[in-house]
Formats: sequence, structure tokens, C-alpha cells
Amino acid sequence: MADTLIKIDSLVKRYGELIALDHLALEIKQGEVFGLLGPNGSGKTTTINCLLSLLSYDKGTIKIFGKDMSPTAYDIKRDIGVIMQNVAVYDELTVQENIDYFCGLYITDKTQRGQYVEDAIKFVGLEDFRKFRPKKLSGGLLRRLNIACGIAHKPKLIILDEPTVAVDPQSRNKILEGIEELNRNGATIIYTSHYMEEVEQICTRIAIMDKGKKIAEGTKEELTAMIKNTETIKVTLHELPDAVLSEISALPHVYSTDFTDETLTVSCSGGKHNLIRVLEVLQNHDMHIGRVTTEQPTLNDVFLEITGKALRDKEE
Amino acid sequence: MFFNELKYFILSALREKRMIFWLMIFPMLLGTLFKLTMSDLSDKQFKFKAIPTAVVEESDNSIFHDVVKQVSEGDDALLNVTFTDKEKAEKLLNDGEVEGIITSADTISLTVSGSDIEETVLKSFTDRYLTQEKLMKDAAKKDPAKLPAMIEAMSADLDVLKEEPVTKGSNDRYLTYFYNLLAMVAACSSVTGLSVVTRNEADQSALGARKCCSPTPKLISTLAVMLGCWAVSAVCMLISVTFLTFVLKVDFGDNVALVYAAGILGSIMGSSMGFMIASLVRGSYEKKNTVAMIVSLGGNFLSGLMIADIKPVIMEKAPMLNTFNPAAVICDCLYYLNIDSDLSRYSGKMVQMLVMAVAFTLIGFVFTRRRKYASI
Repeated sequence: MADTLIKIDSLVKRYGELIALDHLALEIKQGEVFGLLGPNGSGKTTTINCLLSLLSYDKGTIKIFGKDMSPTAYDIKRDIGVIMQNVAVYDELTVQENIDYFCGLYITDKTQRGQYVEDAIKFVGLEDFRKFRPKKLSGGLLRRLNIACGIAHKPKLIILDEPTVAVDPQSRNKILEGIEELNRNGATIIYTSHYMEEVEQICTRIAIMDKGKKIAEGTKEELTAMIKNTETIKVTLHELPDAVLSEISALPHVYSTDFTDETLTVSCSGGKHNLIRVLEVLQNHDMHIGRVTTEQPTLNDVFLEITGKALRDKEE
Repeated sequence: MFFNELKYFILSALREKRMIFWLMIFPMLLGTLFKLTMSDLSDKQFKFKAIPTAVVEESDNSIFHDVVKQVSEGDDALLNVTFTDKEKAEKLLNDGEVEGIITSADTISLTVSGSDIEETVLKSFTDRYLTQEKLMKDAAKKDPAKLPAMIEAMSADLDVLKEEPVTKGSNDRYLTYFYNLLAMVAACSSVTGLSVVTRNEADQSALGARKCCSPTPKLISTLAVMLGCWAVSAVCMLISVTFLTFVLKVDFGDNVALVYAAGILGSIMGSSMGFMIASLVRGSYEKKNTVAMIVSLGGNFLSGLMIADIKPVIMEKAPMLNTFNPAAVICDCLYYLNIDSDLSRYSGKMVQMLVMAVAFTLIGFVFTRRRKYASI
């Protein structure tokens, strides 16, 4: 079993009357890509800031690499790379100078630092932009520079706080591939996001947060197994008599049906061959069947079922 | 880590357009403007030419004749005299060729056509001549041999424009504006001092947060940036003094090296003041910057950057404000350097600037020593 890299116990953080973190407990193993998923304001960034000892907290303990984390725990900080939500680079320095500067906060040996800076530039694909100032870079390239500044010193633990916010799909894929590569190279990753697709794609284990609490934790499969819904069937129909809808509702493993805007939605819990049974009923009544889809539950369904609300607003 | 921080701070600061404008370009522009405006004023007010004057001698007054000749000779002649008759003199006056007519008859009389400074000088000349004429006539009767020497003494006394240097330094009354300009550069260095806090504190910027996550101790980081601020401010001050002294030819007196020293120490004090303000004022960079600019430019106003006559008022009504106003301290330091024959008062102000810089820096360190933040 892998070593525990981070252990957070009963962490409480208050802002006046507001409880930002409510007895949060997390354990992150070496080699994991650990996802912190939750809507805006759920406490993800506060957790990261407490973990990094930037924020004071009211109660709880935080251990990293088996040692208590504190602002002066420089031996711990040496092995951590941080990529913040907001891009943190100097506008007046070039791409190469920025990476060299931030790497220099960790690595004093000039020769080694030079090599690390080169590696980081290649890793994020900014070879052609090394003399560019940040203002000349596109949003996606700027995010890549931000990541390079955080990982140039080759840390064992990398914390990425919503690194793909406001990034185009191409750059987003590049960033996600890069994170997976860092993990393959041995780094443990903590990844916070409110984009469930990203978390589903790269994280080996996920904690879902809401209102400062961890509401669920596990692999994607473990999380989806926690909820009642295991399959959602959607069939497009011109019309659906109430009698037919009642017959479908009575099928085994079906716990919810709905017919709105010419679309029949059937939610199933467990069982096999649910789709075949639904289609059989429709054919028996000579219904004209249009498009048929079946969906496995997502983390959004998990969140929806546990909290009664969606992870993200529709416009996000 | 220290030198990495120092190197990249200086590099980024020297590339920051806003900082370069306020600490280099703006003082040069303002200095040039001052120079253009004030050299014009100086020419008008202080560099008198000999006043063209017609003298009509209707009686034989040898004393008057000799005195007039005496004040009309040399490079610093008071009058440019044309001896002529009454008719021609009046024509010269009407044509604007002369400023006045002095008529030597039974008594000495003056005719002028205006009331400018030249006419005032002529009036003063004739009035004082008349006052002393009787004394000279009495003395001449007693000892005629002394008459030439007495005429010479009287001429010197009547030469109202002759300069009597009271100091080894420059007498340019507008120099105070240039002192204030250097004080402004020093005070505006407070903008650089803000960077110490905004670049190092996690609750001030994403950069600060990233740096706080690194293993570089905050004390080292703060010291390096502080040193960088002093260096950048000092370089800006060096450039400003050099520009004023060697390009605009502003006469700061004999000891330019000590002007540089005062300027550099002033700029160090200014950036330290910015560090202190940024550490004391809670809130955003904009808020800190606003307070720093109010303190800096307010101090400059009270020391006479915009209105030269405000400083004596402050000295009279609120002397403590003048004593501890950083801009006034720098101005006074430069003023004492120019007018004093020894360096005691200059040295006193230099020590005061050093003490204030140390105090500002220590206060800044005390208020930035916390390591965790309640909110970011």
C-alpha cells in the first residue's frame, strides 16, 4: 500500500459566522492524482491555502510527508509545486526569466537550475516563446507558463488549483496531458476543479466537497456506485400514451420515468438489459421510435443526488 | 536565493514603465519646464542692463558729472548715459531710446515716461544722490584732495545693483523649486517601496502567494526586495541629479557630490517610507498606492513644490510638520548645503534622513512579520 503523503484531520476554518471548512478530513497517498471537486465556494481553494499554510485555521492538523506543515516548514515546501488559480508571473520578465526566477526560489545551484528551466520550457511547449513577455502570450500559453513556473523545480507534490479556468479546449487538453505525464514521472498531484469532466478524466481518486464539507470520496466507480441511478435511458417519440408510460414505470429496476418535449427519460437502478425491456414495451404498442441513448451516471449525478443541486450552473 | 530575488526585482523594476515614468521621465520633464520658465523670469528680473538715460547739464555741477560718469563705466554699469541738450533728450525719451532724463540745473531733477523697474532705479539714484550731495560739498570745501575718493565711494553706494555675495553657493532664488523636484523624486520612490509588501505578501497578490509557498524565507525575500528598491530609487535619483546639473545646468553650488549623496539618501528614505505605508495600510495595492501618493505629493506641496511661499507659512504655523516632512527634510538638506559655509546643518539633515529611513524600514518589518493570513 502506498505511503500517505498528506493527512488532514478535522480541519475547521471560519470567516466570522461563515464556516468555510467544516471538520474536513483527507488522506492523499503517494502517486495519486487526487481530485477535489465541488462548486464555486465549496471550500476547495480554502483547503489548498490551509494546506500550504498560507491561511490560518481554527482547528485541525495538517501533515505533509509525515511532518507538521507550517509557514516555516521550508524542507516540506522545497518538494511542493503550486499552480494557483490566478496566473502569478511577472509581466516585466520574459518567459525564460520568469521560470528561472521561480525555480531560483527552490534551486540555488545555477547549472542545475538552468537545466530544470530548459526541461520546464520543453515540458509546456514554450520553446518558441522563451523571449516573450507574458502580455504577448495567449490565454492558453499564459496558463502553460504559469504551470512551468510551478513545476520547474521538479517537486514531489504538485498542487493545481483550477488551472484550466478560461482556457481554450486545445490548451486544456495539453494541460491535462501534461498533468498525467507529471504523475507518470512520479509526482503526486492534487487537482481542484469544478469541471467534473476534467476530474473524471485524470483523477485516480476524488473527494467531492460542498459547503466546506467532504460529502463523498473514492474512485469514480466507487462514487457512482454510491447513488441509486445506474443508467439513464432516453428515447425520442412523437407521442406516448399514459398507459404505455405506466407500463414502462412498472418494469423491474425502473424507479423514475418522465415524458417531456417528445423525449422519454427512464432512470434505472441496477439490473441488466433495462434498455431492451423498455424498447420491447414501446414496440409492442407500435410506437414510432426515434433517437435512443443510454448514459452512465456522472459525478454530476452523484453530486445532484447527494446535494439536490447541480455541480455547475448551466452557463458554465 | 537572495541574489536571485535581488536580480530579478531590479530587472523587473527597471522594465516597469510606470515606475520609470514617475521616477525618471516625469522629473526630467518637470525640471525642463522649471528651467525654461525660471530662466526667463531670472533674465527679466535680475539681469539688468545699464539703463539708457539722457543727462542734460544746464549748470556746471562737476560732482554730479563725475558721479554719473563713474556709474556708467565698467561691465556692471548702472547707467548708459547720453549727455545732450533738453530738446534732444525729450525726443530720445519720446522715441523710447532712453528710460528717463536727468537734468542738472540748480538742483537735480528726473523726468520719466513710465513706472517700470528701470524708472524706479533712476528715481532711487537721483534721490540718494541728492541726499549725499550736500555732505560731499561740505567735505570738499574742507579737504578738496579727498573729493575723487568720495565720488568713487558715493558711486559705489549709488550702484544699487551691485551684488554682495553672502554665501559661497548659488543665489538663484528659484533653486528651491529644483530642491523640491529632487525631493519629489525621493518621495515618489515610495512607489517602489510598496513593491516590498505587494510582491511578498500572500494576501496582496498571486505572486505573493506563490512566493510564500516557496522555501525562501520571508525575511530574505523582503530584505532582497528592499535592497532592490533602494538601488532602483538611488539610480533614478542619480539620473535626475545628473540631468539637472549637467544637462539643464542647474547651479546647485560648489559641491555636487554632496548633492548626489543627499539625493540618494533621500530616495532611500522615500522607498523605506513606501514600505512602511504598504505594511501599515490594510487593503488593496490601489489603496496603499493612493495613500503613498497623498503622503508623498502632500509632503512636496507643504515643502513648496507647487507654491514656494507655503514653506515659510508651515515653518511658522506648524514647525513640527516641517521638521518631519520627508520632502522638507531633503529640501532643507540641499538648501543648507548651498548656503552654509560649513556642513554642520547639512550633516544634521543627512543624519535625520538616515534615522527616518531606518525607522520606516523597521516599522515595515514589524508589520509584515506575520506568516499566516486570516483571509486571502
